[in-house]
Formats: sequence, C-alpha cells, structure tokens
Amino acid sequence: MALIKCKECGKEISDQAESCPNCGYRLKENNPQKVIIEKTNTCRTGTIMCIVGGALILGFALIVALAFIFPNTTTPKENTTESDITINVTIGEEVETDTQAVINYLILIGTISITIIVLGALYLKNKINRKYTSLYGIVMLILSIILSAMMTVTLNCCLLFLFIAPIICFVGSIMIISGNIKEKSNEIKTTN
Amino acid sequence: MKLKQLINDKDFENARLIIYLILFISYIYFAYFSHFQCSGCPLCGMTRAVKSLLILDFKSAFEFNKMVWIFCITIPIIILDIVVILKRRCKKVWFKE
Repeated sequence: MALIKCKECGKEISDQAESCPNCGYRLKENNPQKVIIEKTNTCRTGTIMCIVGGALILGFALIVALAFIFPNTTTPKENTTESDITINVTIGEEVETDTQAVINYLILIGTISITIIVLGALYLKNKINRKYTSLYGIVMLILSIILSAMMTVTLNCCLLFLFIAPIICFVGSIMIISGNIKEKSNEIKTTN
Repeated sequence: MKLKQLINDKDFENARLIIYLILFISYIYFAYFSHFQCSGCPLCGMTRAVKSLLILDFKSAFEFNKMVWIFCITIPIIILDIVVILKRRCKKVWFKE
C-alpha cells in the first residue's frame, strides 16, 4: 500500500481506496492509465515483431546492395547431388542482371523497412497517440503485404528464406490490429 | 531501457517465441520444398548451404557458402533463449539459477 495525493483536493490517501475520503473524488474510474498499459501488450508484441522483421529486411538489402557495388569474382561450386533440383526462376522472359534496377528495388525495400522500424520505435516510445493504433496497424499491414509481394515476385534474387522477414512483419501487424480490436471491445464492455 | 531489462521484457519474450515458431515452420518448408538457386553475389549458395545445415551436413554447407557459420552460431543461441524463456515461464525446480 502507498500514499498518493488526491488530484482534486491534494490530501494524502491510500492508493487502494476507491474514492477520496475528504472530497469524494473517485480514484478507480479516473485512473485508467494502468489498465491501458496492461491491455496493449498484444500491440506491443506485434510492434516488436514488425521492428525485428524490418531490421532483417534492411540488413538483407544492405548486404545485397554491397554485393552489387562490390561484385563477387568467384563462381559458385556446382555440387549437384541426386536430390538437388535446381530451377532458375524467371519472370516472363529471361531476366538479365540490371544493376540499376536491382539498386532501385533495394532502395525501395530499404525505405519501406526503415519506415517500419521508425514507426515501430515511435509507437514503443508512446510518441504515436493511442487512438491512432488502428491506423498504425493498418499501415504496418499494408507495408508488410507490399514487402511480402516484392520478395515473392523477385524470387530470382538470393536468400529465399529471407521471405520469413516479411511474414514476421505481417504477423506482427495482425497482432497490432487484433490487440487494438480487443482493447476497444473491452472499453465498450466496461462503459456498458 | 537497459539491455537486461529489454531481454527480460515479457512482450519481447512473446515476440521472440513467435518468431522462433515461424522459423521452425520455415525450417520444415526449406528442408523439403525449396529448390531455388541464385548466382553472382557473396550470398550465392546460401539457400543450399542452409538446407545442408538443416540436415546436419556441415561439410556441404560450408562448401556452398562459407558465411553459413553465422547460422551455426545463431541456432544454439536461439535454442538457449527458448530454454531460458520456458524455464522462467514454467518455473521448473531442477534448473539452478
């Protein structure tokens, strides 16, 4: 038990009390801050997942960008076994390596991943107003879908398994939206 | 927030567990269904190297791409992290602090 000051009259009262014995100011109804922090755990978990996914994609984009700026002169070893089935994935006609197109593509996915990381950091620092959580969740969902689509379409780029990173962002954005819906439904229940 | 506080943060733990679950499901996909190959960059052969690593064929994995050692380091760290999180959650008696 701790002593706190009443917001109305300034008298010291117990934090466990429902109302101030001096002026009658109701503490429990007018102290929603703690409840809000507990209810946004799903949103916070989803935001952390989006930041992790964005960081993975940004790292991937930087490595591949460096690879095209400083190309590798060694050729890949051709260790083929019976179980090794190789398929060259192309889109339409045979794709020629176009450095400028690749750099543009990497700049685009790098920008999107930086946006995800910055928005996530702002949300975790409570710089984004909580009433815009649904909008934030929808923005993250759209960005993660764009990233997933881009990674799927350009499968002739290396590291197929980094497709996991947009999936992490997508799951994170779903968690943010579901957490927000759950919070809003709980608020409706408490007001009713 | 300090590093130790961040690592022990409940939301961060939940996020890590979900990410590890996604990685585990991806392991099943990449071990059995992915057949793609690329060329021309330092990450050439990484998908094949990771596939070899998933079936514990370390020699082939290093032949495909030397940088696969990153995964050799991160996989034990991930396993250790899962064990620590589950230990904290389940509060088993036989683990000593």
